[in-house]
Amino acid sequence: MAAGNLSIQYSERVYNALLSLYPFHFRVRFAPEMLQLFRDCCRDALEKGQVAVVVAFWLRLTRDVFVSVVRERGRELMRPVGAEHPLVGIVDLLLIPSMVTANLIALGPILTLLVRGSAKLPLDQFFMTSGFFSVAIGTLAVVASVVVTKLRPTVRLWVKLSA
Amino acid sequence: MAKNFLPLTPAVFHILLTLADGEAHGYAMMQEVARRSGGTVRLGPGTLYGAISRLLEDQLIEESEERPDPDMDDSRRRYYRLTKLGGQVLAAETERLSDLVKAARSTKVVRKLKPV
Repeated sequence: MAAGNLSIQYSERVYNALLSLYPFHFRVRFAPEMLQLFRDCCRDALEKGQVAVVVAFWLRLTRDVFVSVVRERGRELMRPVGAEHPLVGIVDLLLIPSMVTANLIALGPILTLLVRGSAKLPLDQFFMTSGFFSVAIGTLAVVASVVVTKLRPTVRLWVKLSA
Repeated sequence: MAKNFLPLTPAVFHILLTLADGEAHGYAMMQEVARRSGGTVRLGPGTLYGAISRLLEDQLIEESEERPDPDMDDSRRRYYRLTKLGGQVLAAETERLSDLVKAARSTKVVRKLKPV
């Protein structure tokens, strides 16, 4: 029985580590219940006492973890940005085209003037350099936006939990 | 409204079917689904709680505060029950599957064949 308890303890540690693969929100909400369920299933498998049953249990579990992690991660990525409040969604929606327009009209040319100084550039070179800077700033903005979007709910949850 | 949720996945259908009999926690659901399906549908913790998460979000099930027997039970377990919408979705899916079976049985091939 002591050996069985030890096996459950070690199995729990492994499963607990696997739970960290799930998205943060999902983990906070369901990890304790999943761990409890795992404990029950693990106990059932060990009670049967056959190695084949335990191996089959772990194979099924590994497949379950892999499939559900991919599914939950995909779901998290596809979740609409403004799911919590419609206003957040509208602001995000307006923010993107206005940033792109501001980038093309102002940021690209300003940066070109700053970099090239007062040197007079032919019009075609000026537009090419300006376009290059616009694309570079746009790419950086997209990356930053994705990072902020992904971090926003996590930060909010941390604030809520620590309050 | 209920038809917007159709068709249900086998896992979700089995979970709703299990909760139609009364509230249950994850382990009870898992066992009942395996028993009801004759062992053909075996839900792992990830699949089960993924489905529960979606069902909670769609308000087809809700968490129950009551404990069927508080003395006999682990307080860490969470119980879930079917909502009114969940019941309607289950009924609509059952109807859809029933119509499908009826349509299949009306074909010559299915009438002649018998399961092995």
